[in-house]
Amino acid sequence: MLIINKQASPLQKWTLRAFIINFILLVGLSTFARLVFEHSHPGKAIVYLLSFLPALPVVGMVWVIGRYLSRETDEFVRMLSTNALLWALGVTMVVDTVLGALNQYNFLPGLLPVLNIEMFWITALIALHIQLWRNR
Amino acid sequence: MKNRLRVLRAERNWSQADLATRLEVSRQSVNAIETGRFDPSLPLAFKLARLFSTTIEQIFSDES
Repeated sequence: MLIINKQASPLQKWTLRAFIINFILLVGLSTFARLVFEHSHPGKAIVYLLSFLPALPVVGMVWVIGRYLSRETDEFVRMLSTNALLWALGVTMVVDTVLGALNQYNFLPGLLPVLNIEMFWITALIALHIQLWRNR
Repeated sequence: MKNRLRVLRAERNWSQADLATRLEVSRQSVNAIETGRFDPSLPLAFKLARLFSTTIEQIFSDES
């Protein structure tokens, strides 16, 4: 595939590397925040700080993707990337709405919380690869 | 939009990858333009015209 094989441009390789680093940071910081919440009783200021902590790599991810879209010179690949992001946005909003309604009316108590950001990026990656495969 | 990209490329014995390298785009882009799934921007259309030493109208034509 264009994004992850040797055909990838230096910009695509840089973007993928930076994105993965941010994703790992997101998982690490989310886990850290959850563990602190579960095993201690942090004060109000620490609670706010811990809540903002996992958002930092999300800002990083958005910046990395924004940088990529503004620098990608291949307009067709840029269009596929934008389409993939729109698909991800749509899927995330639909799933979020359905799960929100189910939770609100208590149809599915104990439903695992779905992390929007992970769902968004994974859907974007799948959508991008489907489009690249269709246009191979 | 119809185009004569495949013919022009074949006349020069270029593969899609060769043309993609000359245009500095991906092979998928060339394939998508050739098959009419993607219409290039004006700058890319001019680049194609320069590459084939012709005009944009000689490469692309309105289907209607």
